[in-house]
Amino acid sequence: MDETRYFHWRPGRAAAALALLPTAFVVLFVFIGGAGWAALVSFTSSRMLTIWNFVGFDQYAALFRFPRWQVSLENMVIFGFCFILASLVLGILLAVFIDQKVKGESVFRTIYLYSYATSFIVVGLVWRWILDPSLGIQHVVRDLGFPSFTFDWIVSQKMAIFTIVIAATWHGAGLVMVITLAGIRGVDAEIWKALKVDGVPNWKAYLFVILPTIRGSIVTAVVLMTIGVVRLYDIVVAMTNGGPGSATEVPAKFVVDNLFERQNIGLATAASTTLLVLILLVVVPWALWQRARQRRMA
Amino acid sequence: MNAKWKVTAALAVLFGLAAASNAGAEEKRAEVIHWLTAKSESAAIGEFAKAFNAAGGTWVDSAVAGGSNAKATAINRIVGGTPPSAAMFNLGPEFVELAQGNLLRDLNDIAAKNDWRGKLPEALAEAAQFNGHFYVVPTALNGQNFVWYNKALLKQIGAEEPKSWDELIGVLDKVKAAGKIPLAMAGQKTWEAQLFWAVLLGNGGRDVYLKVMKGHSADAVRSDAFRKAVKTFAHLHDYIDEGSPGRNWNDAANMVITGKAVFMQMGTWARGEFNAAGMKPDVDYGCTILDLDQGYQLQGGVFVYPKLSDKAAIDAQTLLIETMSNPANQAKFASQNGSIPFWKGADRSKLDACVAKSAEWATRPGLAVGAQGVLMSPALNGDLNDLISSFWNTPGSSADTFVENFASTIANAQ
Repeated sequence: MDETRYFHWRPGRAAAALALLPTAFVVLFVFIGGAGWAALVSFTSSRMLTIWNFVGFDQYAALFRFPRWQVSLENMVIFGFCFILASLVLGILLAVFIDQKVKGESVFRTIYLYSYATSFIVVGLVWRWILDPSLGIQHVVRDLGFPSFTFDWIVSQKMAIFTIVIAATWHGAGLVMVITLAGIRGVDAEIWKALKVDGVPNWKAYLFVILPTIRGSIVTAVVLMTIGVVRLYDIVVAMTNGGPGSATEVPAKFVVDNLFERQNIGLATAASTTLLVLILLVVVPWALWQRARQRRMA
Repeated sequence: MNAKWKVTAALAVLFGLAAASNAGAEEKRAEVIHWLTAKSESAAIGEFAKAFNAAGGTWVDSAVAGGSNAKATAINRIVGGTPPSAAMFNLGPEFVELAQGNLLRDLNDIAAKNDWRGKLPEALAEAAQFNGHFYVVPTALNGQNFVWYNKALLKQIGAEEPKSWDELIGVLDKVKAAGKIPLAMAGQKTWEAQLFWAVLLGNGGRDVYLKVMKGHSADAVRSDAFRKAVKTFAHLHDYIDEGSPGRNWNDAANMVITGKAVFMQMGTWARGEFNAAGMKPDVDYGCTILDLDQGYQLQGGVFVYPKLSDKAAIDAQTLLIETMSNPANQAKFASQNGSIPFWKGADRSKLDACVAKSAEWATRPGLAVGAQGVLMSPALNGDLNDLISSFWNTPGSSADTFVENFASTIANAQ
């Protein structure tokens, strides 16, 4: 890529810059400014009102003493790992199946992507009812004549977080499918011809040749999902509201609860700043990797 | 009209007002931020609006759906320098930080002129003050530690109506044996904690309740009375159904109404669900406080009046405060809202059996105590909710560990 292109002035570029100006303004002052302000407040003892009484890292020390914050972080890791893995496997499988030149491909594509278009609140409520032992699957199966059938994960402190994984995977696998399918379709037809000539079985071809070729798409999907994991909030509120007990609490919910209901701005901003740092830990290496890759390709 | 349109309308009115603000400087205009958006609630706040307009004011309604949203809006407006004439908060320390920040109008003059101390129950008058100064007008008030039950079902099972938490356990055993769900439980942190505080007050006793909440005494938490209440609370978990986690309180009330379950613990606002289902108080459904002699937990909404600088705006605010603290207007509000008319001098003749009972108990000398939201900060309440909810949802977990965690949380609270 020609680096000088960035600085070269061309007609039409002015219009583009002008169009981007409002967005740049919003990003600079609202997002970055807001994040910076929150980080600053996290070093104060603010509760209901913002007061500039700086207390160093006290809020952070308090934050990591909260059992609920520890549970929230653990849940984020458990959820993140299971959700990303499950969505990747399911999404890639769906993409491979659809790639088999099935009839009515666009219908299937629409169906699988449709769940992604549903809001997390709706998804959460529906799954809550499906999994509610006194209303949903357990109730129905018992009524069908299996009185000892038990499926009560959503009310169990140990298993409840996995019900969120199920619902979120149902919601998100379609997106992985679309991204990887686009990647698979972009693979050079010559590669397929070579594989056919060598008589490589289909599953081996996908697993060892095609998937490594589309790793860019897969990484993109993983990064998108990781950001979703860190800001996980609405589906938890709709499904379990953090319960039973604190079994499905997540960091973003900790922030919102403390910011509004509990009127503890200092603690909430400390938690949100911690989250921001976690997101940066994911996004910055990815951005660097992307840039390095583009350089290599250029 | 639903809440969304009301908010839109309120915004439209606001912008209209801003444009016209120079035109009618003589008008006594007052803007009120609140979260009373349900049908009965907005009819209730409408009574204040009518009375204020009749007294020569112009009521500007700023309804914001959801308590925490409304409070956030009010705080932002007050801190940002464009305060409303009045804003709704919860009874309790929420307003203290605003008062400490010198952002609220001191109401002592008006209170003295209209004898608030004589007209309010003692616990309530105390909760409405900070450092001996009135800062709020208590308004939408409720009793919190009520127990509700399906009378027909209880009769059918052949059990007596319980008077104490210890008696309740015996009755719950009978209900369980009869194959009904004994206790309809709303499985959200707020309600789990609410049940705990009701048990602590009734079963543990008023003394330990106040020492824990007001004195933040770790010794009181480690006392036998506290441990006894913890045991009773944990025992109640044996009587709920497995669908409880995550359940809304009105769904739990519905279980009692439809006869799936017999008992539930909920504040006086639950009466609306029973009445709407066509059940009659003290005939079809019962409402009572167990171990009543230990106390009546009071909670609810208040209005604060931010400091204003403009002379005309202050005059309008004075008229607003006098209108809203007028016992007759408070009674009209309470009857629309289904809350308790606490102010002395209010007409109590038309109340239904449960509200009448509640009003009598609430104003009985020395009976009312503040509920957890009144006596402790939102941050401490939130931390204790997490603790109580985890304990409740882990049957068989160690009561000693719970007591120790509770004691250290209480002791570390500011």
